[in-house]
Amino acid sequence: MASVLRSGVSFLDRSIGVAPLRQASAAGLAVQFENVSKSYGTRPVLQNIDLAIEPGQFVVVIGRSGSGKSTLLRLLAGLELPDTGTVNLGADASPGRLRVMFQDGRLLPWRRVIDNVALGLPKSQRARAEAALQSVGLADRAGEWPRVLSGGQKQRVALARALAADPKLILLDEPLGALDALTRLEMQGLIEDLWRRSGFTAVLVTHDVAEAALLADRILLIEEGGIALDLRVDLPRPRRAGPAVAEIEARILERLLRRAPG
Amino acid sequence: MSARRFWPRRRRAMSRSPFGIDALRRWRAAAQLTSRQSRVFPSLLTWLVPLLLVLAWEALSASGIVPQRKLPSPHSVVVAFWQMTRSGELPRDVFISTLRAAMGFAIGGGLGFAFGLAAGISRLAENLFDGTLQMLRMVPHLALIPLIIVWFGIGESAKVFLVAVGVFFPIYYNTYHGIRTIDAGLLEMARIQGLNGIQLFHEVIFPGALPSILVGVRYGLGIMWLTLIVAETIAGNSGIGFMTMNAREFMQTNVVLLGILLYAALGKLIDMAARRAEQGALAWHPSFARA
Repeated sequence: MASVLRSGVSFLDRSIGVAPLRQASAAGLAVQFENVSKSYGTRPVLQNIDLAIEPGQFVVVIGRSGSGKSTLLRLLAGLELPDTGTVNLGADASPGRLRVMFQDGRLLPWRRVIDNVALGLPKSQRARAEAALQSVGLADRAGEWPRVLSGGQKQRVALARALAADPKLILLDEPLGALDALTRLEMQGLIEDLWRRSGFTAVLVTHDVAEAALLADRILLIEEGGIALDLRVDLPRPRRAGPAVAEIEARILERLLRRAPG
Repeated sequence: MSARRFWPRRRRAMSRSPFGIDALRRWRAAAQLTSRQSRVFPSLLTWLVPLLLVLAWEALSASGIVPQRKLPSPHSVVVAFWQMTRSGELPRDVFISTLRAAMGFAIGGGLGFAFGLAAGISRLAENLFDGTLQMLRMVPHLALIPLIIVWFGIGESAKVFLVAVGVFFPIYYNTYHGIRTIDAGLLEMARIQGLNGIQLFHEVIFPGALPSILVGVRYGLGIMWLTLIVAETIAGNSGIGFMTMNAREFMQTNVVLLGILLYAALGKLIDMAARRAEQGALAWHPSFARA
């Protein structure tokens, strides 16, 4: 419970500066898309995408439903292969370099919380799972079945599982989409906090414009299979809702609504 | 036993029955009227009806209304049980029947699991033999008895083979089905976490298919007894089935009745063990969670 409070507090009052500043880019993976196209059947989903993501960058991919933003993430994860072009994640091919956090959590219901977090880790590295669970403030729930946790707690376990192997790239597929507004705000703070400490490259897919403005170094707006907007966000961190963030929000919304049907 | 523990257990049992949720509601409404008594003596109440039946039966036998030769009295069944236990006849027959059941179950269940696993995991294996097995599944396995007698005679292997065939299909089908219905999202997640091969099987595939596999096991246990009774009744010179058929020739109806009660008791015992195993293995499952 104490650690839950701590992460909540560090989010509410970041000016204390609990998190040590990360070693920029040292722990992140660079990503390169070269002329990537993907279609399902005859329907093109992504067309001729060229994109370079710098190590340690926090990229938020935003777009309407069916715009191809989830496909972009699945290509990155290697869950889909591009029809043409290449997705390059560099020379490092270690099994722990990349993790995904899904919207529906995807915890194994037949494994205890701690075993879910340790999934895929060698037995000798179980301490890392414990540390990861600690970092999301759920160390005291290690022995529970996932079914007794709330939606927000399940997503924190999923986040801990993604963090446990100390990956260099974490892909977040609308991870907060199913949470209530207050829990979502807490989780955004937690994700930013952990990202600042660890320095992994983060790619987050969302349709929440406020979330994008709050978290992103760089916002990619995907529309009709292409990158319609590539916006750098150079606001100081940790960020809180305010005029500067609101202005970014407004710009994205305006761009999104321009293509609104009718 | 407290009321808190009593109610949920009942509810689970009812929701699995074919009568559904409406029957459950009616049952609860009716039970509510006598709730005070049923909370105090739930286990006594369960035994009340069988006890009354046995007493009535004994009274009818003693008064000669029901002839002993058609339906022997309960106490003569108990006497038969005691005599045959002392002579060693009964333990020997129970042992040989249990051995046959266990061997048939192990062979049929093992093969069913192996084939179900193969068909569930590999499309190639599925295409190769699932169609054939689904066709064979429709053949009532007891129809094979004439053929099996030609192949194996009336010895041990015939009985074990018949049990194995009977047990094979429910376990095959439920293993296969259990693996195929595992959430694809969990498999995708596990692969991203770097699992494959044995680890994937151990962490995701087996535990994911286990609820369905255990349904197959319980179904298979029922078929196991049924098959064994038929096989022992038709041919053989040992086992509970033989004991009852032999007794019929000498008009020892109390021994026939004893055999039937033994099947009931053994069947119930094994079902209880299976249920206990289910509760242990599926503690994570909301339907099996203890209150």
